[in-house]
Amino acid sequence: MTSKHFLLTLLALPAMAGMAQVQDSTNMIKREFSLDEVVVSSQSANQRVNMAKLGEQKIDLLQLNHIPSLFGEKDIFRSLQLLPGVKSEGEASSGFQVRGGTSSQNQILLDKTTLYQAGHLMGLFSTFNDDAITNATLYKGMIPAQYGGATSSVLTVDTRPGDMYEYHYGGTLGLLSAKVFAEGPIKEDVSSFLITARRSYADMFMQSGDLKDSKFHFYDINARVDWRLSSKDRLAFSVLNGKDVLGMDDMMDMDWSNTSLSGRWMHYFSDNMMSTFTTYYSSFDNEMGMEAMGMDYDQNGFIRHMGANYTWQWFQTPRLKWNAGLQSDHTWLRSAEWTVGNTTERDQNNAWEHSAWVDTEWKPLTSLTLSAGVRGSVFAPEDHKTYVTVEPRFSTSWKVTSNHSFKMGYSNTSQNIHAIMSNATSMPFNRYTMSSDVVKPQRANQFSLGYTGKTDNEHYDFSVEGYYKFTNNVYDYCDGKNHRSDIHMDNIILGGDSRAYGVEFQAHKNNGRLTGWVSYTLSWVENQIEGINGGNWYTASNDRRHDLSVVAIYLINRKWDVSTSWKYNTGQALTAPSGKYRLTDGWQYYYAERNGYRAPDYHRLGISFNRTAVHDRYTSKWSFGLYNVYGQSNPFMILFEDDSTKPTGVKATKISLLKFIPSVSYSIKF
Amino acid sequence: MMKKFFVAIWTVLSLASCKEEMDFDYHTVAPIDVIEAYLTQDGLDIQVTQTTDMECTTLPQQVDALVTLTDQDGQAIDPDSTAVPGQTYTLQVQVGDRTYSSTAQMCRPATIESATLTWDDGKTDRLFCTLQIQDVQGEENHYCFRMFRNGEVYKWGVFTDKGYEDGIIERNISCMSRDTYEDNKPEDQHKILHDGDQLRVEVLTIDQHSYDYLYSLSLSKRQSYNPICNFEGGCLGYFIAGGAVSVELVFHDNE
Repeated sequence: MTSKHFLLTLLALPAMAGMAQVQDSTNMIKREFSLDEVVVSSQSANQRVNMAKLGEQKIDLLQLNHIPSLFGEKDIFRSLQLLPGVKSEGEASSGFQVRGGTSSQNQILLDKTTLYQAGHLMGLFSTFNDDAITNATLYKGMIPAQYGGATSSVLTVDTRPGDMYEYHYGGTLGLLSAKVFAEGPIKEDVSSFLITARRSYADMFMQSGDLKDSKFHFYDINARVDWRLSSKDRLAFSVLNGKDVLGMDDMMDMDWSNTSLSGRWMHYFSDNMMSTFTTYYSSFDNEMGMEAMGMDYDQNGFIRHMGANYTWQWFQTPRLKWNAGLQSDHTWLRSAEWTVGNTTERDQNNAWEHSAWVDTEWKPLTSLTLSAGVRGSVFAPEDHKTYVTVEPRFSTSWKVTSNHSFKMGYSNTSQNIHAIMSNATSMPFNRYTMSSDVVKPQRANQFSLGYTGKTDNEHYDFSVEGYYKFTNNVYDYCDGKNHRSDIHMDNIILGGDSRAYGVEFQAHKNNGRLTGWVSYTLSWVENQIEGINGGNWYTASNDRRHDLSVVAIYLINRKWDVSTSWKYNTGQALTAPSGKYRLTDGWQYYYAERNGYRAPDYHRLGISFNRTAVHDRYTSKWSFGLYNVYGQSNPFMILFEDDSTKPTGVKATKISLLKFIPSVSYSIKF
Repeated sequence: MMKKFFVAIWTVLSLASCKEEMDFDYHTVAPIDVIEAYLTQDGLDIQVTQTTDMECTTLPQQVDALVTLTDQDGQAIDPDSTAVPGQTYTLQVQVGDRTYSSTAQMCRPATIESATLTWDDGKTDRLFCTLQIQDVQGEENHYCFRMFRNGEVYKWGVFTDKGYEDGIIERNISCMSRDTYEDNKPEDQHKILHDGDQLRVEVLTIDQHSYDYLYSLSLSKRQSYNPICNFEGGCLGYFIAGGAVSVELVFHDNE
């Protein structure tokens, strides 16, 4: 495969996702000035046992630095995929699916602003530069009432505040990209700044040969400024701008970008009462132009949000806490605008959404925690029906002993922004639509039950969670239609139901030179959409029966550590032909059942070695890695093609990506 | 030095991807009737066959069928007679005890202004057949093109006049890449044009229903679903009535 073909493969993928240091009672943050920066140590074994809510997973950014990564790019999304109940969309995607949902049913919030298609290089990497982030929490079960707009999960990520006392700067040079950061006080103990920037540099070496005149790069910039106005008031402003640009000569150009702006004012009324007022703006834009084969074609789309959110938290007693708030959001959604020749078509709509919520956690007994919340929303699209939703949720945790707890919960969530995917993998050019007269809000009801236990010394902890989720109004393209079939989404999609159920197991080893975890998920996902598969229930394309991840990190000495991760999952459900017939120019295929087949199982091993050296004035780190160590040919795509040299006239072929990917990176921080 | 370093990395990434043939355990299903019928000014051309298993090594055989063509007044029409633009025709096909029917409107033919074969050396390094068509005036039009090589269908596709209403529509039909042409591999013979090959490009003006079917057929393999139903009764295939125009070309090595 030539370089040009590799680039074309990437281009063709679409045919084929206050204040970071707000310290609440469950989220203690420890600061270490090393390469690892802020270390979230919130989810110790003890905290996992004590946590009332089911399905809440804090992401340990320290571990993220050690886990083997693709091209040496530390990627929060790829780390998420190693957690129970979280699955990868596919080999070439950092997109993730949670408990039978699709990636489009996840909400990704950066400083309370919503990001869409938060990935670079068609989703190969996440938009998040690990130098720029601090807290990350995935809610996959009972989503707190303060978050709305996702039926599957909510991932909250906070930009890291700059150091208010000392200046630091540094950078990382990797195979694919380079990044730099700087932070420090603007006025000591009063205000600080952080700025990070990352850019891929492959295109700088494409000035000759096959790839001449090609565009192929991404960048992202994060910045944050904090002010401590008084002992009771803090302000923070954060910005993200990231963009991908791909192009071939002057024939085709495509780019997509995420921009988010957030301003937050946090006010402490007292030691046990605080509020956060956030205003935000976010914009996801995509654009594609093609001038080839007689076609002069342009398309673009966007989703923009602007709004304000007021959150009030009250720790009434050590046993009773409240979280309540209001949010007003305006959405501009352009599903697509196409220009062909002298004709322009557009599908665009705007909507207001006003929400209010209240959440409470109460410990009537030392061993018993009750948590309940409700969110009410009014979603009002222009020129369409207004929808009012009430979303209750409830969970309880019963601590049998100090080492063992049982939990159960129920949640009801809704989603008004719908992404309709042509493939199992999300792409920057997926089309979106919002609830309308035709498209109804997606509603999910989830029941879950779990157990968490730990050993006395907290060296080990274990958890089991089972869930059943039923979702109404999931949408897919009608058979025979795709994103290009009609400008108006209402004409080409069908709605139905989805059900997902499964059980998740996880075991952690927390202490010693060797740490890590094993997670296993047994799950089923099925859809029923009138007009697809004869209206019968069918296995969803994101159904994978077994999913196993093993992660081990071993500290060899003060300088060296080694880590491995092994991932296995049942092959993806796929639709393949059960018969063939002749029409026009050759064989056509007859598909008897939607997703009636399975792709071969997926497995890979990753390994990385890190050497950290602490000097007087700086710290440096070398990372060496190998992704897919034993070169497993995991199917990225399975194709059925005509082949006149075969007695049957047809053949099945498998396209595999990412075999034996070595990586090396060097980081330095002053 | 840095450039060599990068080229080495890029080569590694390229080698990390591969395409390979795989064994696949196909399911089997009972045969389903397949009808392919074109009605043009020259009369009806119809083939009735059945689906076969994916592992079957023989071509599908024609099956006996009783074919009835009627006009919009319900009058039976001689299948060899000239179809009239503006008329709606119904095709009924009886295979054993199974009956299928489909309706299509005959549309006015377009005019082919020019058709040329050209190698695009600069950008794609592919051979294109550039087709210029005068859009049928005053109507929203849908077109199907079929490119025959020595009498066999070589390429086909659908397009509309959107953006070029009542004007000249240009379409470049991608034939083959220069690499494919020069490598001349046995498995690529269905893609390759050879010196002296007789080509005929036919353009049919078709109705929306037929266009929707053919569009879904063009996506069928890529998106792994059956095209939308064109016939009532549960068979596969289509009935298209189209005003046809065609032009003939010959491919030469030095094109």
